[in-house]
Amino acid sequence: MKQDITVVILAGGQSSRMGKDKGLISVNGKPMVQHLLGVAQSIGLPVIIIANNSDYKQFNVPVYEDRYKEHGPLGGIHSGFYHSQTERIFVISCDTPFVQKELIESIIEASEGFEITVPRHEHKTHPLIGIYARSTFESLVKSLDAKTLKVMEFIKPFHHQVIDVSTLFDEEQFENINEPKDLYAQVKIKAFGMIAERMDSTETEISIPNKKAMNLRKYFNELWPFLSEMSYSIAIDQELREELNKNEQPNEIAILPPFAGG
Amino acid sequence: MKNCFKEGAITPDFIASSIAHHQVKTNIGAHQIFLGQVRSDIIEEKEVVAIDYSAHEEMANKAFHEIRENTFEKYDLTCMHIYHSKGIVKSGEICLFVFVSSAHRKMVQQAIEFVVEEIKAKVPVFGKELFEDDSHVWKVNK
Repeated sequence: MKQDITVVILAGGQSSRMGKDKGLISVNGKPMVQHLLGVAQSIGLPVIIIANNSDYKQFNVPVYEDRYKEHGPLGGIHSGFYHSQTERIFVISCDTPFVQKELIESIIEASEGFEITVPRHEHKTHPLIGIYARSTFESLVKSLDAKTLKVMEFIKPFHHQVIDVSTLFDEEQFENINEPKDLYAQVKIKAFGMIAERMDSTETEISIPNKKAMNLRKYFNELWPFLSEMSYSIAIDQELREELNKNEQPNEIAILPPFAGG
Repeated sequence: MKNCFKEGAITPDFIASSIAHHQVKTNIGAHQIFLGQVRSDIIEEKEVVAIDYSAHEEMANKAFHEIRENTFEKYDLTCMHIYHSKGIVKSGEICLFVFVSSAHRKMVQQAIEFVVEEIKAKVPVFGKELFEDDSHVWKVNK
């Protein structure tokens, strides 16, 4: 029953650490919130954004302010219910920009018969990537009025479930972006031979998401699809390897076509 | 780090004088030389007239250095030289010159094979095979 769901993207929080509104920070060339919009739209669900900043109107989806300002994510969930008509809402916080369609769909699929369904990955539960039924609204108002604002505490009394998706999805989908350095490594890419020819340049700079371990081949194949059809090797600071570690800041990453010496 | 690249073709004169330089090293009893020459392959009815070599030079020089170290460790050699072209080398000209020397022949015979195979597999050098009509394809080591 997908028809009764609105996706509510929470972008209401202040972000002093980021220096600007969190959801508008660019990740891989587009604002975090836009990644999530794309995912929601690819599932075919209506989307609204809860934000207190009119800059979010640029994305051509309805933007609503928090009705309970500075009441944290619960305030945003409240606004989500208030400004949507559907029986349930799928809540996503704008600071988890790597959430994919499949994750959302599997949460929706598992949610029948529960008032709240949220995922758990390894030991961490993610209440801000979950589905909430309108039957929770009344008690949501009570929590907000009483200023009991912890989302996990709010969930407990309801007929809820926490589904373990550790084996289904990569941890990276749950990656939470809080500070600029969480976001990406700014890296110089050197290209050679036929690869430089295809890219039309021998040197370019890209931002690579800063994750626990980043598979560069996978990332490059998405960024430059022609690479997925050819054989090449990757050298991080002149060492042949393909995984970029978290917080690693290499001077260069070389993309090398097949060797042809001699 | 030694720079193993030479601009353009490696000339017979250069190779000859390299041999001459070893005449003072009288503990050497055997030299072995490998010369890579640009072949005029016919690719889709067009003839390769030259190869334009490029490389990740810094990384390539490191790779040459490592190959050198490994070779000295494996084989009892007196000396060893590697030169590779960069830029344009016409067909029929020399693009790779490997020169190993030892007291006895067995060592150099084994060493030369090892060095050449290592170079082909491990050094980031790229070759653009040029045709007469200014078109090109990219060479890949088999």
